[in-house]
Amino acid sequence: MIDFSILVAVFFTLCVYSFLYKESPFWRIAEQTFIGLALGYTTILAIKNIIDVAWIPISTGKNYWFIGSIILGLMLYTRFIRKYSWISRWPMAVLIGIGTGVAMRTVIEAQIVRQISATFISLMADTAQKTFNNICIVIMVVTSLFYFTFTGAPGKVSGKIRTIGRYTLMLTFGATFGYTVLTRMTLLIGRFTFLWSLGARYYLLVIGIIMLLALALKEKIEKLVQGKHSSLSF
Amino acid sequence: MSEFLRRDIPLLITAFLTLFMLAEYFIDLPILGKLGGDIRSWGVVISAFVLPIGIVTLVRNNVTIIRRREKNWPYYLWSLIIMFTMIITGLIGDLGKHPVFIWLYNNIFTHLSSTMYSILAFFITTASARAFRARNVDAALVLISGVFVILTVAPIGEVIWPGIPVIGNWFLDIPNMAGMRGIIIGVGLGVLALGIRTILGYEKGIVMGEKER
Amino acid sequence: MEKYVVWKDHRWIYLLLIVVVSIPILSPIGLPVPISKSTMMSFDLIEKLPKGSKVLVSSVLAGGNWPDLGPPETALVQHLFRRGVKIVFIGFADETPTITETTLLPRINKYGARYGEDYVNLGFLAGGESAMAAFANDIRKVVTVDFVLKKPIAEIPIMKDIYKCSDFDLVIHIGMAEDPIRQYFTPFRVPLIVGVYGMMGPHYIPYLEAGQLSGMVIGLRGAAEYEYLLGFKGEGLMGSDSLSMTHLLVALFCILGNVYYFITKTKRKGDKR
Repeated sequence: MIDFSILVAVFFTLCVYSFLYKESPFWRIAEQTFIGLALGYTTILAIKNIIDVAWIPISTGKNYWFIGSIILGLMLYTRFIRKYSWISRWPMAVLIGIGTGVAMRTVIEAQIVRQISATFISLMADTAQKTFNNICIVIMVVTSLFYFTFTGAPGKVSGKIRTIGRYTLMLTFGATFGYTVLTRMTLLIGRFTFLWSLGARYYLLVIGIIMLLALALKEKIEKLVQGKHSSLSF
Repeated sequence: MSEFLRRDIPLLITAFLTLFMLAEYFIDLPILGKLGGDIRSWGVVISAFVLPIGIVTLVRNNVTIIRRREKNWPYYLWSLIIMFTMIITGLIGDLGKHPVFIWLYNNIFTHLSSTMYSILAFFITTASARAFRARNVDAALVLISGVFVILTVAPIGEVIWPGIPVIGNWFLDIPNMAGMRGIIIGVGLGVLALGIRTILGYEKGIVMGEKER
Repeated sequence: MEKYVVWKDHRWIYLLLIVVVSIPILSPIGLPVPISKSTMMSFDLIEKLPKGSKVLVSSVLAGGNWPDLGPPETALVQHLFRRGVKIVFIGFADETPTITETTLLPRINKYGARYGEDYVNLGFLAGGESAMAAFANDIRKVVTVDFVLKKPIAEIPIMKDIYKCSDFDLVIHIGMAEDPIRQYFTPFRVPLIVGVYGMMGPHYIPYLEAGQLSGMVIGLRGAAEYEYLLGFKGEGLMGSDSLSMTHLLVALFCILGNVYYFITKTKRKGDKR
């Protein structure tokens, strides 16, 4: 018995992967389906959020002030009417003001003070390796900060300090690259675990073969109708 | 009056709310705490209104393409059909609980979104083979640190040579940690600077867009 | 030599990657999984939680990031249920509450935990860090009903005595770590464990070293380590063999690509002379 859900899931997965061979109608179907579904889903969740956070307190009489937030939210849509698009700046200003204030108030401790104080470590530790590591940490933190802050400062000494800072950052980016590979491969493994699962592998083989044949046939058809202009060209 | 409403009021709102949020955190007054909570709740509601803006943009763009019968117009029509199907089924009955809505989400949307992101794995592999070259000292350092960390992350690294995770973890715990700390402090200072510029009204572009900047 | 260079046509690379990722899935190898310090710290902290402690699980889990964030959250939440603690779920991405109910919780052994009494799903809040700040400071102001039963918060047994972030004994955030450090840890000093995307792991090591994070589970690798400690086979352990082979492939490409580059560079220099 055909499991339509798995068939559809495998079909759309392979549609996306068809892009690796070349751009095709399958890829375009997948792309536009994704855009449509993403926006539709996001809208429903947004409506739900508005009802839960604002409408329920208003309708139950707990807090009528939320009417103001709904009005401000609706003002955002004036951006589509050229004459009144300036009205949408007011709710944007509210969002930016709140966001900036909320980020600023804890950034001093979280990202500056705590990080600087964590750099104040003993340069004479218990073991030789720990001593070496601590010295490296202090030098590398200071030089990489120097590299950011004094980008154009002249002089031989400052040049050398910036060079050490730059080398430190290169090692940092290498480590980031290593973990970026982890993230990308994780997503791929997740997909192939699904495709090769017992429920999906037969659909994978059948749909995969049909798609490959369809793509090969499409190339032949395109060569035959070459030269004709059509807005329906695939 | 027109300029006051269009430019000055948004800047004043931004500056006032930023200062209010700071005051609420650093000054221990119950009234500030209560008002601050209300204002943040308003922010949650307004943010929810931002999400569907994409629909209006998509509908406008796609209808234009469909009306003019531009290249690939049937795909844009399909995009609108599937979007409205999702919205209508989501609105029927209990919000977001219709079987068709849930089916579309579970069997198409989640698979599509995972697959879209997973395709990057192929590109990063191609990049490592064709683009990642140690042309100078900087690139060589990135390459050495990258290769050791890649093999440290993979359990097979320790099987190949026990020294790989030792060196890889050293790269992570010392130079990476130090460089990242420098970046974090730099970013923190940047957030502060941007916040102060916002309070003083210098960051017009944030509220009003690129033209005004 | 040119004709043996597989990366001249990138589609051969794609095919090789597909083969390398598929083989361990179809025929697992069973490589050992060494445990990292950050995962061990997370495990030890949860293991020490007394039964009945209140834990907030805050997340940005979605369909697109499930392979990266899903396994760490599954492992952490499984551990929480095993410890018999009370769990409050909140999402800051629109898909999070749905995916929590339809994908995450069905995979977990809840050890008899009951919805409303032992765990609750508070739904989703739009607004990112601002929403997180609003939630952390006054939960009942931004969340009026739960996601599953649509019951008012005040009537849900688990939410009795929970009004803000400081009422929790532990916070676990799945997603990026800066926002919870700023909005959960810094103002309220609640212990914070994060489950992060693989590529963000190195970014948050300074926070771990500075004591702002009490633990960190990094992507699929971290999930594999956690599952090994818990003694159950989830997506982390199932994917770790493929992880090894694909990483080995990328590392080999980096090395071989540069060997090829230096050989052809020397050859080009020799030809010029």
